[in-house]
Amino acid sequence: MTPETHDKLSALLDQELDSTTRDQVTTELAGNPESKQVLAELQFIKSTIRGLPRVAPSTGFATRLMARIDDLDSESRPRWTNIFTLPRLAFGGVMSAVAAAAVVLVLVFTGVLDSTPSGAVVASGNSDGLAAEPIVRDKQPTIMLSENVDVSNLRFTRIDFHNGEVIRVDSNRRKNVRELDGDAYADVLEDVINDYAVWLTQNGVTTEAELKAKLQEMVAHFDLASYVRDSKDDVAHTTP
Amino acid sequence: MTSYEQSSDEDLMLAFQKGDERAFSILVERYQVRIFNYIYRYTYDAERSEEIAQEVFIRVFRSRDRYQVSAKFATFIYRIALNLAFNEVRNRKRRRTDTVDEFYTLADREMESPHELVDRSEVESAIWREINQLPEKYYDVVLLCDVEELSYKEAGEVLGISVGTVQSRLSRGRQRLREKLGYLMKDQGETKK
Repeated sequence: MTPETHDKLSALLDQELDSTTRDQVTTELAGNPESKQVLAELQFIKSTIRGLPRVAPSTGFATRLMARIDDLDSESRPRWTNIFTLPRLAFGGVMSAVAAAAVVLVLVFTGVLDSTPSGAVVASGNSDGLAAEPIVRDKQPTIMLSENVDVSNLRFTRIDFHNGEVIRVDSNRRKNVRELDGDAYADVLEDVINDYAVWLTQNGVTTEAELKAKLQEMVAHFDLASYVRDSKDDVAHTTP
Repeated sequence: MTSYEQSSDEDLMLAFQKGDERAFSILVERYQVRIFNYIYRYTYDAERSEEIAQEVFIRVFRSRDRYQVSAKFATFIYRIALNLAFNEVRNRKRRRTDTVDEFYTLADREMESPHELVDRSEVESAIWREINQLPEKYYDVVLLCDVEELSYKEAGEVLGISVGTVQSRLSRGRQRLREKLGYLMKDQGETKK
């Protein structure tokens, strides 16, 4: 038997021949016992292989996978790091003034997360009384510096820093800003204060107004809508 | 709540692209054994195969927006699995072994008699031993078409070869298996008598 004939018999078995070739092979088969025998053997091989049991992963595979994805989903967002990464140095002069920068929040109005770039970045404030007044610009992420922001109707992304690196990003969760000022964030707070202090110093920021302006400038470097979109397919979005 | 149980893989990916992660969970359910089994047939290392299979699904998760619904999902996921399995094999500088399947699960064969179990076990081991002896280019196609039951077109897309090449490689692979395993067919014929 030629290799070509064998190929056709094998493909006939898989119903992968066009109708003309199939009819031709079927006709030839009728008067050819050798081809019939080969076809029967091929059928045996194929059905035996298909009957082999599949090896299965261990129990809990899917659960472990989903847990990993949950972890990675939040880890994958430090694409903001490039924007916010700050060198860590000791600095005390403006420490209290920049305590507000411990946690940066991106607030997005409920329901617009997927498409509309409206939103705001909030630095939760301290008792030193950074301006409570939100700065709002339509269609752009804007900055609010306040610990008294009512976020009950907002969704937000919270970004925690440690040593200048984003260590945690939570999104799409409703939470009151004031909840962020608990003990759980004390360590992060200290580091971020230092980090921001360095960054602010390097950028000549010494007053509250300058702080707000700098934060706003920082926010203007990224496109919230792009970030949200890109976060879905893990394409880095780090506009410097 | 939408029921996805009857949905095609492609419809599930579409729903997943729109943000419904339940659709992704169903895809995981449908493919976890297939993908694990496929990778295992290259690595013969259960632990690594599981890690790689997880990585496959993570890549599907991450690249969902790049998936074109016009493409078969099976092709998409097997292609990822194949690349990762090849990388693993390349890194370890070894591929298949002729080790008898260490993963011999008897759980679904409780109704068989001990003799039947032994017979089946021997037959299956013999088949895998011969499949593992196939040259790689035949092995790749036999695995996709006969074990994973992909069409020629799908297998061609996964492997990056034409349908005609799939057809001829599969035929050659089966021919070798026929030559090596013909005795099993005779044995079975005699048993039936």
